[in-house]
Amino acid sequence: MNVAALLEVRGLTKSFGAVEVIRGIDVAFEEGKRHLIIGPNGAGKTTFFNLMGGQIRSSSGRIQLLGRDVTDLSVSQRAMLGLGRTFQIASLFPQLSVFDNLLIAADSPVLAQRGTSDFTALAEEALDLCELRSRRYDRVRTLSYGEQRRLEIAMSLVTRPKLLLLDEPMAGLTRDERQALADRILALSASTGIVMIEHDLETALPLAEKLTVLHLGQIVASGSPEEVMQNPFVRQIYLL
Amino acid sequence: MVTLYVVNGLAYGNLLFLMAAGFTLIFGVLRVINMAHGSLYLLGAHVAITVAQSGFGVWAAILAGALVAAVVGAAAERLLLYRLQGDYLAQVLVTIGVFMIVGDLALLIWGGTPRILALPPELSFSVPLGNLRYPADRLILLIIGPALALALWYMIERTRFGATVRASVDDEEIAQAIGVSVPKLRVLVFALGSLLAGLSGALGSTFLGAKPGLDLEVILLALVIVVIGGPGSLVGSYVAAMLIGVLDSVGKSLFPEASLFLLFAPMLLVLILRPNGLFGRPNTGGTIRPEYAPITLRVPDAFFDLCESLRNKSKNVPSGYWAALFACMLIALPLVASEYVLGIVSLVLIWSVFAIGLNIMLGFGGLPSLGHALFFGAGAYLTAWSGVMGWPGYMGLAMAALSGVVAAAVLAGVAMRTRQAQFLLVTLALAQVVWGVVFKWRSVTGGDDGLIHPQQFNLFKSFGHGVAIYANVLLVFAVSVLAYWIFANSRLCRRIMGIRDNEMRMKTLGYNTGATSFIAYVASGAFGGLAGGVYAIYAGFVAPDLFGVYTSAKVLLMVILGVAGSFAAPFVGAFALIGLEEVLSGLTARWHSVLGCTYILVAMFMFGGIRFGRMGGRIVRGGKAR
Repeated sequence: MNVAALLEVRGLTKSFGAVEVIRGIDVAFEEGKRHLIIGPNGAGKTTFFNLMGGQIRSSSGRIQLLGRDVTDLSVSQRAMLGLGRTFQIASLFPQLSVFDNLLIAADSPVLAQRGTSDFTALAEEALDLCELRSRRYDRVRTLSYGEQRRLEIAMSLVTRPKLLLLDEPMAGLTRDERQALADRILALSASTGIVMIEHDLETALPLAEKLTVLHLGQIVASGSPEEVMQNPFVRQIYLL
Repeated sequence: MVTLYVVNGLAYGNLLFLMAAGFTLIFGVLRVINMAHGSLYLLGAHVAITVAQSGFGVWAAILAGALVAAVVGAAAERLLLYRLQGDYLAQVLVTIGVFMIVGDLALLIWGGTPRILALPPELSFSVPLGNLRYPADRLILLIIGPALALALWYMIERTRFGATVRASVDDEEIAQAIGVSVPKLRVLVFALGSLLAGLSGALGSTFLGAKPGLDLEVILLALVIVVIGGPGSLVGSYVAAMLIGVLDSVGKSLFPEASLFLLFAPMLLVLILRPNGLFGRPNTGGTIRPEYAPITLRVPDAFFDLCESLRNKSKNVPSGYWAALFACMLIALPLVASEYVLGIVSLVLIWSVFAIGLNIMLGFGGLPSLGHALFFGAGAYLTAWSGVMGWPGYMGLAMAALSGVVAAAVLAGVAMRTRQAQFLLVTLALAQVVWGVVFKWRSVTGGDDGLIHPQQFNLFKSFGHGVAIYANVLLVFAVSVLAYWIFANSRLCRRIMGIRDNEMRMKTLGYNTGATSFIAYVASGAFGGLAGGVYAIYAGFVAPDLFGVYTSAKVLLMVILGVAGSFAAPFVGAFALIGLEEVLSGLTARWHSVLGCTYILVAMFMFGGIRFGRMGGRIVRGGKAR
């Protein structure tokens, strides 16, 4: 084995009734690389993430996380193994304060199993990371969308995931916010494997070390960004 | 002989089906648990009897009973429930209010003595059945029941109207998107369901009659049938109704004391094996965005601002000064207050402890239990029995809290897999069935007479009777509030609130959400059981009503009135509602009606069916300015 695979998928399919949304995917995400998944609407990107996270179960195929078969494990069991994710629409605790949101993340059993005990300090640290100290006691539903995004990412990072799935993290952000987020992701990738779905190629493409294109539930191209973007089929889908 | 019981059971089962079909239709399509369904049944029976007694003939009587129920049901939907779409809890509260009002008015109009529809001689004949004779009015049910069941089935499965109804059961959001006029459909379905309630009441009035309390029994049976058959399923209702009819008829004759177990056991079995009923399917539809116009009341700006600031501040935990002030007032109270006042305040404190339990589940956990009386009743009866056994009072209370925990574990076992309206239905059904068992199991529970017990508090005995009880209640209250305060500030409570807000995020963070929710149930049960135990000693007496839907509804209203999820909700709500009850019961004999109106108003105000607007006419929180 030359490069360790954080996440490896073999023959993955998913059908909703008669509709096959994921049609036999084989892919491996290696450690220490920033992966970008792109594809037109309906390509099955979010379904693919939900299969990785355990939010939905696959129809067939196996998923390996850090060398362990997690196909039949629940969402929380996968989280315990070191998987973190953000959702397409920021997924937080809207009635609770910003700090309580971070406390819940810092108090997670993922950290408890590693013997981390001072969760308040971790939450404080995360509060600085997402630059929301001034809004510490405010309810999350009163935050702006960009602030909620920052909070969600900070929350996902508190548990120190080994692999982080980011589902359209740039969507709904301003230009400045997108750039700030791109910098954060770049800094992050030193310690965490990153797989990101993104439509905003302008900001996301420079981040990517490996690009995978999904189309109608299948991988149509995968490799270095330069290579993939030259692929005639990809250019056709994206009308380049 | 057994043939007779079975035929009896089948006739009864057909009546039950007609009654439950309306309930399941309304629940399946509108997701409304219509507690007033029993009232509509009673209304149908009373109206039919009155019309028949006025000499209009039996068929006119039955028609009138059905139509009056349909009109009342449709009106309740159009005027009240329509404005609370999607708020299952608020809708149940409104129907409980209607239930109380109709029950009270029926008592006022038709009195408390059982009435029965006396058949004219040409109809009161019997037919031979083997070597026995069977009355024709029940035999008719064996024809009308299946005929109406077929007609309903045809309408739902084969007509265009039925197709829209089924579409709405399947996915409300999509049904709306393809052009089903949901408001119109709602009124039609409600009228149809209510018509069936009235019709079954009228048909049953020849042998079941009409009397106070029948409305509650009817609701119990409807709940059992719908839970067994599966909400929204006509076929399921028919099968379940036949099963319950026969079980009830055979059971009542052969094992009179165990008859309600025969209802309870199949229901529990179905809940454990198939939480959505034998023929039901889980509701997968998205949550609909309600499109209703709230009633907007114009109020002076100053009043509006006051309400807004109260609303915003209610979520904060009150400061230590307020807590200290209240503590001093409560301790000093025996010096100034009469025994009567001490009694009322004791009651407020007891209900506060009960409401603390519900606030943990509903407010913190987001689990709207309609079966909370289960904990209260369990605690009360356990304490009463501990007294009979000669145990000391506080030992009895410990048992009470423990029994609440056990009851909560059972409730969690059957309800944890259900969500939203189904959750309300299951919790309600479980508590109602236990109520039924306690009501009928005379040799153990004393039946509807209740149980007088010798249990006493074994502290502060030198204070004199009234003060001693108050002092003990206050002690339990203080310990409970301390435990509640510690709980509300704990990591555990934060996790419970996290699950309420976003269960998937909790799982993504690695939490075992099932285990955490379970703790919310159990903690809630402990407070509920303890409160029930204290109540039993306070009252010196326990009765099946402690398990009843009024008890669950009352504590629910308290927590909602005090703004569920805020720390002070149990105290504010208990004080307001017990105070209101005391004042009302002194002022008017019709206080049940007034209380029913209170339920409706609280539900409408707290869930946005009625809103305040500024006099100035600016646009306020989505309500359109006129």
